[in-house]
Amino acid sequence: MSEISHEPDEPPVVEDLNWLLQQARKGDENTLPQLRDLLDTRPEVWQHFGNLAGHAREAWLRVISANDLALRESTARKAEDLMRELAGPHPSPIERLLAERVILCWLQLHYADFLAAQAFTKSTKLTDIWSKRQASAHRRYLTSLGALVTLRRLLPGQAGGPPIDSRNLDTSSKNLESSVSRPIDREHQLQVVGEPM
Amino acid sequence: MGWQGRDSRRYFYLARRRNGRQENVYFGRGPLAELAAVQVEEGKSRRDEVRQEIRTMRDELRTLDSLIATVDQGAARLLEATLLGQGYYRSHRRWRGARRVRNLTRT
Repeated sequence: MSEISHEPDEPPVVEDLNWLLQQARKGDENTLPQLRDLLDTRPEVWQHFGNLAGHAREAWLRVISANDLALRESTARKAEDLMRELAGPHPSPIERLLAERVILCWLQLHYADFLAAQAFTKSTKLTDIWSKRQASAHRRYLTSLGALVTLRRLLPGQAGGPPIDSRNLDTSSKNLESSVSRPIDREHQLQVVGEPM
Repeated sequence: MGWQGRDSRRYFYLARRRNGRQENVYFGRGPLAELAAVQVEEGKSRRDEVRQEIRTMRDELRTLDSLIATVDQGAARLLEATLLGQGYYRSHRRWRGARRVRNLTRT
């Protein structure tokens, strides 16, 4: 775990983004063209978060597989497959980032599932702790999927990924982020074997 | 309580809580006392092991959790920026303005 370094400092473009977002949240419509301009013309903002996501994915793969290189390789491939499936053939930068976030949450959730199942045989205290962790990872996973769904529904022109079947969504709810049922794909469920640490 | 010395001899007492009240159970100094002492020691070391395991896991996962949180926040901010830039707005945690965006796209 000592191999995992801390994330780099945020570049100035992220500060610009935060400032513009604050103004836009206050209802300042003049900042909207600037916001669009920043997202379109400054790729370093996407690169920064893309790099962070890649770094986090590698770190999670290391933790999940410990010293088992075969497990690391197979998990990495599964994650890559899932990423391709979620992001589609020609993803926009935001779509790629949101799909990468889903993958991270997927890794975190399945590691939490594994630890919770393992802790069940050890002690109730451990079981409680890992169950809480599992629940929070699950919430995070659903939120990340909800964000991707939101993007695809609101900006279908910008999304290059596979279309979302609206029949599977609860159309009575206007809250798009809460309208996703638990979408765990059994085929992609991670199977962790051996000791994790 | 554990082992207590009385008249240069050692006697084992088990401290436990029963119906909300603390009580000390006398085991004496025979084989039963030895067995009870071993069991108490085992329980203690098991609890220490679990505590240590929790501490280690938490330390190990702290960096990873913070990385995920950073990506999470960043992705959420970028999604928000993208949607705001296109003309959507947020009201009570819901995205609104689809009609406005359609009109903007037409013009």
